[in-house]
Amino acid sequence: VSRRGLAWWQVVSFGAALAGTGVAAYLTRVHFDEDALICTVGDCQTVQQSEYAELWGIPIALPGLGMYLTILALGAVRWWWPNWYGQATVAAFALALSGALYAVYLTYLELVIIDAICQWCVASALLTLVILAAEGVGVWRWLEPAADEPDVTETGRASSGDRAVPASRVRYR
Amino acid sequence: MMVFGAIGLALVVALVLVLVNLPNGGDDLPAVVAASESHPGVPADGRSLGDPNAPVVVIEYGDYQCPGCGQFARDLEPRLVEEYVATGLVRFEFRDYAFLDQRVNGSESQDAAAAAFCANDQGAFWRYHATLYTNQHGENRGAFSEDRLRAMAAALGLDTAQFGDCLNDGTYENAVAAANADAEALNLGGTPSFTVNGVVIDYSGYDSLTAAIDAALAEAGVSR
Repeated sequence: VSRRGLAWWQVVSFGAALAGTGVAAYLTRVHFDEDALICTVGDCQTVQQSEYAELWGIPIALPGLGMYLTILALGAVRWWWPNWYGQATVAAFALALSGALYAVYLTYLELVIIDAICQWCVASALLTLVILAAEGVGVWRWLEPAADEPDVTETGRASSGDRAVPASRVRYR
Repeated sequence: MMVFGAIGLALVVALVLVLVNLPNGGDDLPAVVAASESHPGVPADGRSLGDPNAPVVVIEYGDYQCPGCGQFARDLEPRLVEEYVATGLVRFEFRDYAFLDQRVNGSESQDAAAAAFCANDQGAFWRYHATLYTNQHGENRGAFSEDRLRAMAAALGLDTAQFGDCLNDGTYENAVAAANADAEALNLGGTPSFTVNGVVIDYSGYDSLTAAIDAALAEAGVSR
């Protein structure tokens, strides 16, 4: 199976995951080095130092960093190994869904319980929602192949019918 | 089928994460402990530490429930006192901005602030201040209930009858309210906040505070 250019939603997901990786890495760093904290909107320090900023004793940004890196890795997997396109997209969607739901809960904690908002946390939550939407489009397209997209066969040719492998496994747009 | 399975798994994972990080009800608070002498050898006058004629005055505005204030009190205040207050360069003062209980119609921030005033009546402001931060456990979950505030006074060997009367009578309710009003008038972004020689600084950690102090010392023609 050959590869081809990325679809728009893959670019969006990749870009958001890359930005999210930067944000989560930064938040992880400032958890240990408060002086590195730059906060122009809200009260990042109160949020960062609240009891909810850690999960099982580790900074909450660290699982977030893991999520973004995994989504980047899944994006690479479906580009390098198109046979895994569907599984990688569904996995990225599920990961983003977990992350987005948890981000919504954390935003609730910020607004209602901690009573302070952190610009970096909000940015991370929005990036997770963007990834969720983009991967949702990917899953949707995988389940509902668009008529205007050419099929891709094992030779990489566009064909109209004779799929050498199941179409659902090789579409990546 | 795979999609529904993945969605189900995602929901379960999110639920577990939320359950692990639920706001705590406060039924698992550890026993109260007394803080050790916070600043031995440094002259204290009520809520002020250091030389009353020091060239630079640093005022912290804090809430006893604020985790950032707790971190400052435990980790950074001793450093500040050692480097600037004990050396006569800075007079350090703590003022209340007790606001974290307001959104839940609670009173733990204000009660803790009033209790620190009561401890001050017995010459124990800084020890009680340090003890409050040592016993900080989340926000609005009972860490600063009246029973625990009394237990902190007892742990420090204060006159608990006098302390209890001070709390029960609401002796310092107005003082705390006045302090809050003063802090609000400064339009502070949150707690902890600091003024250096009367000017609110953009606090983002210890270095930002010492930079402002060093600038004020230079302005006063004092070298470290």
